[in-house]
Amino acid sequence: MRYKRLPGKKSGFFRKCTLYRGEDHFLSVESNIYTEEYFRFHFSEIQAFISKKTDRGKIWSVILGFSALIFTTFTINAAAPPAGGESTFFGTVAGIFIIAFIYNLWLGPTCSTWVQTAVTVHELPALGRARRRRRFLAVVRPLIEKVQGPVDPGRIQEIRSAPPAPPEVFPPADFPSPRPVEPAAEPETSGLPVNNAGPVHGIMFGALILSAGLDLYWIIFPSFPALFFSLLFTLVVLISIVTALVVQSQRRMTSAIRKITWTAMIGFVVTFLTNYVLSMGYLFRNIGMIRNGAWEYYSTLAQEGLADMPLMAGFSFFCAAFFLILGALGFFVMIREKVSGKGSSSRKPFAGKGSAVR
Amino acid sequence: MDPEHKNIVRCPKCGEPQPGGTYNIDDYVLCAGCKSGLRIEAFPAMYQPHHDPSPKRSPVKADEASCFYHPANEAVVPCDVCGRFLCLICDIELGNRHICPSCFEKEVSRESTPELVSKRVRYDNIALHLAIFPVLMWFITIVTAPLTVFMCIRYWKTPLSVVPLTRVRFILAFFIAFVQIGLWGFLAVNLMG
Repeated sequence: MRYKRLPGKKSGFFRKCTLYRGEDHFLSVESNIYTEEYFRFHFSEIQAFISKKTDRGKIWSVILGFSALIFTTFTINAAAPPAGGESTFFGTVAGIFIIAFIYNLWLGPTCSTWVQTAVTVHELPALGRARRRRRFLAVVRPLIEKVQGPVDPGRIQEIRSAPPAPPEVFPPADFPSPRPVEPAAEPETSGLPVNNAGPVHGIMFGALILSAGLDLYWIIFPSFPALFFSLLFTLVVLISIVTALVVQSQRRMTSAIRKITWTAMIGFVVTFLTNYVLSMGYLFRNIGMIRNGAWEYYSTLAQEGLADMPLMAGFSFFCAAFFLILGALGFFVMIREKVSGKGSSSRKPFAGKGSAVR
Repeated sequence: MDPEHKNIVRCPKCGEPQPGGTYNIDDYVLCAGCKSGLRIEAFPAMYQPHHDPSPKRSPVKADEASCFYHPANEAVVPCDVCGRFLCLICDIELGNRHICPSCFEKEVSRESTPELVSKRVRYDNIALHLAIFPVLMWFITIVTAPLTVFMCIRYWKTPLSVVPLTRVRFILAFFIAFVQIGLWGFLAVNLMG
């Protein structure tokens, strides 16, 4: 079977989705880099495409624009004499963010798109932009109408909130009676008690607070042991955040705990990347240091701390305070939930992706 | 299956059924439930009667062939793979072909029919990432480079995807791993020398 590429693509760091056209169906290929899953939707069975406007594009614009602004400020600051390699480095990073910001604007408004058939409603991640969705429909609509016939607007208008009665089915006489169609199972989220944040989240919040405290101690009183334990607890924080994310994906937890955990993850990634970038800037400026190996860099950090890196020191203070507050907030929310003994549930009408035809 | 969602479109966010008057409008329409902007493109399958999936039984007459799996049922079509006679219950239509459940199961497990493949492993991506990412910690490449070469050779002929794909990632991975092995060899010679 020969497949032809259709408009529509989603390229993420870990996930990629593309659409292809077959003889009598279209194929959604959803890849997580190492495996691919295939979902086929026959033109004769497609009932509707549903699109919902989202703010994802605007959020990305804010993040990319803010990052571009930050690094442009770093560049201007580093360009002041005596200028070194830092300004070039920060300027390059700022340029990347500016290009990404413009690209995001060019891609246009974002949306989420689903395809509905008689048995499933399946999201199509490849149609996350309104323009791509329009181009996709322009190609696919004639193919669907070729199989199903043109749409009768009158019949469409007649569709009301109450679904029609199911058709009568006469089972063969000597076959066992078919099981009655059971009502759709309630989504797992309704009626069940919410799991309060357990020990994993407690450990994560504790690790956040301890790590922040150790970072602050090392910034103020730099020494080898302080640096060592600070780095060690950074690793502990990472492991605990990832474990907490895995645990909360398998249990139903309150929205507050989930948001705090995700904020911790995003904060950790941003902190790590920014510290990495700032370190690179420092090394560019002191190029002689890396000629003697990375050990000298860490040795300088341990003995002198961030005295020679005011930007990084300020950023590290900010991050330490951020994680301290986040950890304390997490503990506060945990204790409040345990005391009150109630949690909120958010029912999602589309319980998961449904059973898409593969 | 949720019987309520037949012939009706629901808001993805709040589940509110959307009346037909909001379909096929060339603009976003606000959902009555959550005020999300929705755009619905509906097709005749929304109002066309559903195909009755229940199999029809047809008892075999004296001078007719019977189904291999249901001797009491009339055979209507032979299996295109094994030739066994099939009744309407056993007949599985796959494109233009009619096959029996047993052959269908074999085709699924062998992945010999592209239409039945639902998942594939991308060995070329695995090999390429195995060649590239360990460079960040270069000393690991002494293990990963030969592993990459092995993967490229072992999985070269394995079907990668149902959509058209070249083997360029395998070639790139092999080349990078080959260079890494070469550098290790150069380092070893230098150390010994």
